[in-house]
Amino acid sequence: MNIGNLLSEIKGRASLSKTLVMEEGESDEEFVFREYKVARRSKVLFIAGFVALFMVLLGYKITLGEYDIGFVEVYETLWKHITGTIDPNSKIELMNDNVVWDQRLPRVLTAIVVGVGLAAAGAAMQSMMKNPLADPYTTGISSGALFGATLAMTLGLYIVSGYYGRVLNAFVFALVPALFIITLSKWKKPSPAMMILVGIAIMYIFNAFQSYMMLRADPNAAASVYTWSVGSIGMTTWEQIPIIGIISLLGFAALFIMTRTLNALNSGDAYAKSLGINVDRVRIVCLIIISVIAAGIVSFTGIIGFIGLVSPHIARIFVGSDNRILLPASALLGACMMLICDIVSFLIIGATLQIGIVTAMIGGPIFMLILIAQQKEVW
Amino acid sequence: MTVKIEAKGLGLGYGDIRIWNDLNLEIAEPGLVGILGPNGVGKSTFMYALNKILEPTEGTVYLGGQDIRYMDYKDVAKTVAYVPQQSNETFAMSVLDTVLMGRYPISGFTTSEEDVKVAIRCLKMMNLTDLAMRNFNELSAGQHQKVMIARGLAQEPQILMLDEPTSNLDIYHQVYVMKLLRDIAKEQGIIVLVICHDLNVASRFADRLILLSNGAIVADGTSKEVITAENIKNVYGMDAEVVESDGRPYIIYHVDESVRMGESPAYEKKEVP
Amino acid sequence: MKPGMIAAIGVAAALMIGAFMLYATADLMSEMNPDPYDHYVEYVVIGEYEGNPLSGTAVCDTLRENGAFHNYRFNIDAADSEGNPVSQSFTVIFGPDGTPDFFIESDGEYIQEFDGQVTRISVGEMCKVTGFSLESEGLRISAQEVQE
Repeated sequence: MNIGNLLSEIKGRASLSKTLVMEEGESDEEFVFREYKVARRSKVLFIAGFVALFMVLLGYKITLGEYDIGFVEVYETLWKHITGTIDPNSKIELMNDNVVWDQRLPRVLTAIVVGVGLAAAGAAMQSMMKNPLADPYTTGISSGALFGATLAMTLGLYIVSGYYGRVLNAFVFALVPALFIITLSKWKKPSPAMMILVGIAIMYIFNAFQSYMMLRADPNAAASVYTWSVGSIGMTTWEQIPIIGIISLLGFAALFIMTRTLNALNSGDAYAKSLGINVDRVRIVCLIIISVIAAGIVSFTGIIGFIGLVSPHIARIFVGSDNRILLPASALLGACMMLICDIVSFLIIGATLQIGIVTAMIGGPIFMLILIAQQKEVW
Repeated sequence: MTVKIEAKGLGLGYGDIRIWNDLNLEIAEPGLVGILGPNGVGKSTFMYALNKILEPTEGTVYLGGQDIRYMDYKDVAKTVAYVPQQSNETFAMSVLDTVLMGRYPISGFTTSEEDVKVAIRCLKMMNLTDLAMRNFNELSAGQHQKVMIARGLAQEPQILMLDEPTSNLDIYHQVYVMKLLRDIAKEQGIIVLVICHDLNVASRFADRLILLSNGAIVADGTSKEVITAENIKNVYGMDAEVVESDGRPYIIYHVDESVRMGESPAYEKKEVP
Repeated sequence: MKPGMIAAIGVAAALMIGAFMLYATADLMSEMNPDPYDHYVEYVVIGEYEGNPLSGTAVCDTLRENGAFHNYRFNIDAADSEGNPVSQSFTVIFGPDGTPDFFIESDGEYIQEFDGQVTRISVGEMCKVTGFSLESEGLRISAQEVQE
């Protein structure tokens, strides 16, 4: 079966207006208005579907782990914790509470928050740069952030200390690729693929600096930084969840406010200006928000690629390119993708594999499929 | 209410290259105004200067008496709608969603039912209602142009600027789009500025024509005043005969069979002073 | 296929290869520098069950849930002099700072479903349990890490 046809079929099912027929006495305009409402409703249904998928995945993931605890017991424990009825004398209950609430839940929440942040950033970036290949990973922004975070962690080069210091460092260094990209697009106007090749070059440069830094650092620390930097959500605790959660969710909210503007940018700078959009200023603001999101996430989880790249493309198949719907849909799908990768990682590969690798191995082929099946010319 | 367009001493150059020098223009009456001129004379750029997409090197543009340099993009957008020459969508939406984009300067964050109704009405004007839910990318170049015109109309502007809106349309649609634009200009009392390549179609429908050549306005007035054999010869380097029909001048070209390919046309040899 | 499309596919391939290379390097490095908290320990078990001497082995496995915590599962497999099998298992969780300032004992599982209590736990570096003692009604167990 031709993949292109399969995608078209999904698109066809996705637009219920095909089944609409003009009623008697209905004017053209009324018919179109009805079609529009139906299309809007089907998009909302898809989002509801994504939410349902998300809940199922979340519900399943939290019951997975090497510690032996039954499916129902997991929920009992959660309930007991929320209602404050854990029996302090029951060692088993205390232990279950620790594993489910203090160990598994932060991991799951991190996965979700990372998925939301990266997917939103990816969707915004693709619209803003008119580049279907853009996301914080492929443009080198994540690598810059990682370098900054590692500098703070291994060499103790802080501007401010503590977790916020790490994020701040990461942000400062994430701006380097961001500024480079903005300057390059104004100056040379490269094609989408070209821009990403530049981003990958930036990524390799930062990776080189990073490797050097780790060679010079203490070997034990270096090994653990290396494994962390590939992309790991298994290291976060409740202490870190508020920071990473707030940055990710606030970043999502900020980008959501800009979605109408992002829609207009899609038609080209000239037309966007004619709609009243200060194109240069919007681009800078958008990149700053994206850098903050990338910095916040990378500082705690290392580099997780492909989520920001693939989620918008999949979401676009179902809900179209209107960013006001696409951004939340991408965010949902990003969270789902993270959960799926984590589940697959546990069930098939074993819990030791970093999620950054799983997202590459799963996200990569999916992205290639999407690329090959694209029937329109975007390049 | 007509918003007056005024340009004073407009000049534009890139480095050593001069595009135009000291252009002066005033459009105060509603109606269809055509901008004519040979390739590369800077018609599109002229339009960019009039709607703030581009900043001129010298001179000032006034919209409704206000200096455009001190206006915010948003304020300009409330008055001026721009229809680009080509569509440049990376991620295409449905045709209706694309037209709804024209409502952004007017509507809030969400699209209201009123916005949708206006957009559908504009689609109806361009005879595109059965394509409303189709993806923009699936359409032909001519249909793209019609959608973009509908998008400009949806903005309900006081000034509508269109850059070669009929270049991909067949003769039937060329004629009827120009007629539609003229009718809208009259009915709504707005200025419709059109860059046009087809002299005859422009002549037939425009209330006023502005002919650009070599970085200056060579002729400005009604069709009868602008479309003359002399102007055509000077500006385009072609021999032509002007004939009248429906009260408007029409051009019949005389082709010089002795001209060989590779010889640049007369007007390209001149330089901007 | 348009050249831009080929370039884009090349980009996707480059990204995947890069990720895989990172994985290979990380895998290599983690093999060379294994997680210091990852333990598999064998113990020799001696003790007493209902007056009868008891001997056997025990094993400690690492349960990975969250990198900040260290969970270990202990399985004791012993029998008394009369051949009665005695098996017991319990879990210990260490907190994020790595020192055993936080551990929890679990209820044991006997064949006869007695309650058990971990009375002693000897912890070495990196939360490695080198020995422990268990007590319950009629049962006393002492385990020590097998010395090579």
